[in-house]
Amino acid sequence: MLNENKIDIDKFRKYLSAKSLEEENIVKIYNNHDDLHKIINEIIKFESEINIQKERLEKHLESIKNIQDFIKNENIVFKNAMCNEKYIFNLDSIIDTNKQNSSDFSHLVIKKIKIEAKTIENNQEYIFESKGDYKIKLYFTTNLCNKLEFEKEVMIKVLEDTKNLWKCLPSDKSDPLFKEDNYSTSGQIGDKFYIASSKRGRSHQHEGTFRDDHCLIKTINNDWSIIAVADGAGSAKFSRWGSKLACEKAVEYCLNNEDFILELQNIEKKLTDYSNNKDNDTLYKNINNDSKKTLYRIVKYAYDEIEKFSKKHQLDNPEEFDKKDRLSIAYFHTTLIFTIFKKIDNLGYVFFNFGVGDCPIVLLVNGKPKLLNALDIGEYGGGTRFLTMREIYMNQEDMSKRFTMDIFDDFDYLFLMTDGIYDPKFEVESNLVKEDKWNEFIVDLQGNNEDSIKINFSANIKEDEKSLNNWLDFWNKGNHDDRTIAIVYGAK
Amino acid sequence: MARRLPLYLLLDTSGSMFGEPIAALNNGVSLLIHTLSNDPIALDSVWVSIITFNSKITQLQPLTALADIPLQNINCPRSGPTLTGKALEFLEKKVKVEVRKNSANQKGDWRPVLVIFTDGKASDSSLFNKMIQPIKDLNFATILACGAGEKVDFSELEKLTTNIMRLDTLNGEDFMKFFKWVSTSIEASSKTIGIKSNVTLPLPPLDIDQVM
Repeated sequence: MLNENKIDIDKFRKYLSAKSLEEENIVKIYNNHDDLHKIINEIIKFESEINIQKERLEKHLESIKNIQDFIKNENIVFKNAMCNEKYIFNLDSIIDTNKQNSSDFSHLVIKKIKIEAKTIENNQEYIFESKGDYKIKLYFTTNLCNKLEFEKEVMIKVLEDTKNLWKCLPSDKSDPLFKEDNYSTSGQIGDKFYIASSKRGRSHQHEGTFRDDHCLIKTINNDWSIIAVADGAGSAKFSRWGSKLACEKAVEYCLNNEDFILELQNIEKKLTDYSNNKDNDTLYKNINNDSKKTLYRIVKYAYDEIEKFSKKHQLDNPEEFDKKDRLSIAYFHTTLIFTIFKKIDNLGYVFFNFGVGDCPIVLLVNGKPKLLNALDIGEYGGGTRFLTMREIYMNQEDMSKRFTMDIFDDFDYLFLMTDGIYDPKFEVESNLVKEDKWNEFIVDLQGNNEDSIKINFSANIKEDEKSLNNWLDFWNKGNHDDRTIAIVYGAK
Repeated sequence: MARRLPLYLLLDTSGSMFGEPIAALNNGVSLLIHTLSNDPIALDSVWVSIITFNSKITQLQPLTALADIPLQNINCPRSGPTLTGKALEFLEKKVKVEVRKNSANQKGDWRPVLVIFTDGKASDSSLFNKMIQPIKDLNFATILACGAGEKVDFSELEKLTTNIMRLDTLNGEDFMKFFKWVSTSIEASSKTIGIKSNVTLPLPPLDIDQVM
């Protein structure tokens, strides 16, 4: 900066020497007034230049003094480093201090860093190889004068990479309510294929606890199929069993209950009538109403069975039920979604859906997503509703809204999943109805992912089933819940 | 962005804390941060805010991801009152701004956890009493309180929570026990995130009185 207005020393000397002029020169100059005036004027001009330079210099010195004080007195805190990751020492790595916006700070330059026995110069990158608190000596300079050097000792915290902190402990096989950590299945439903996988999340692996999610797919009767997905509540001790019972009992009811089988046949008859008279709104409403009543019985059966089991389990293991004011069924809290569907001639695919909790049922039709159920989402994370909560049965109107009916000519994909998948992949529930998010998701499943795992959505369902199961291991910071997904698709 | 578990530390740094007690408090907070940082579940979910109170209320650390909490020192003045009420008022504002609720476009945080430490009684007791209900309305998953020394008014803390630990002295060792209990509790919270009901806390260490 000083260089920009460098004083011309030679010129200065010339004028100084003019002060001790020889007599003959004085006479010479005297004889030429013009020259003399010129010299005097230039001396005056030069004097003012000197003053400007002096002020400038004083300002610089003050800035340098400020920087020196700043480095000496201010608590300079560096951002934490991650083990085995490149750390860059620059001013951006300093956590905001009040002075950060001042001009003094902007003149700072990190010149040299001493970490343990190593000195890093010119290159401000460093990789810490182990975690801990490191004492570091920093040598600052300033672009106001790069010959100056200020020393400062700071501490820096180096953290272990989260990936290395995760443990994978087996779940207890001797537990009477033991459940497999990993489940997958595949098969054919009418002209469509299905693949499904459910896997214990890292947070459960770390603790050696069980998978709380559950999934079950069955063809029940007369080519109708049911897909059920449940997510046990993390807080409930036996939620793994709650989710298992929820799926199994719902399917069991569909398979074995004679009333249900008859009712479904009646509904199908009405659907066939409707296929011949699609303008008949009254009939549509009638079918919708019938289906709500029929499906309600499935839900109620699942609730009753879980309650029955929970009471028996409490009788047999009273020590496990340690909360006085808690119902035994609350130890089995679980969400549940299911869809019962079939392709009806001249009508298309008919879906009867149910949902309690925050798991979605989504249909992709010509790339466009349709959310088939309404999600229960609380004010805070985890504030959902459960199948096992008595209160959801109390309000008939609310309960009625949980059952929906949809008819589509055809579809690309049908998805049922738990929040273990959509939290990391869709972030918020509102994205579940966004076409571009679903495009991304499909491309992700088809191989555009960190691990390059490819699901072909082909007729080779065994291979796709395996790929889907591997795909579930994707890494996503902060999302380590159980992951469950069921996909129905038409093979290309 | 994954769901966060917000942890609020409300720490008494009034004049009576000067000297050994503040050093012990610093060690305790460091231990807490350190312990949680070694737990992958906590490291991925816990966010910490540190608020200190004496005659002034200071948010030493705005709500920050555990991995980004730097090494720092909590200081205290040589003398001054304990404005616990004002601290609660400040806390209420911060929680309302910083803790995210579920909405169509954002993922809500897990219910926050509050840790409150004091070595005395509120100098502003009427404000303190006025703030009890608003603090309860914030719907903390857990409130853990610690009172250290003879001057603590435990009836005040009891208005906020039943999870209270009583320390007779302000020495380093006891502080460590408290913060170990806190970290175990936070870890318990982070492990069971996804909960509607209150978190079940591990019992405090046996040799420390828990006021119930």
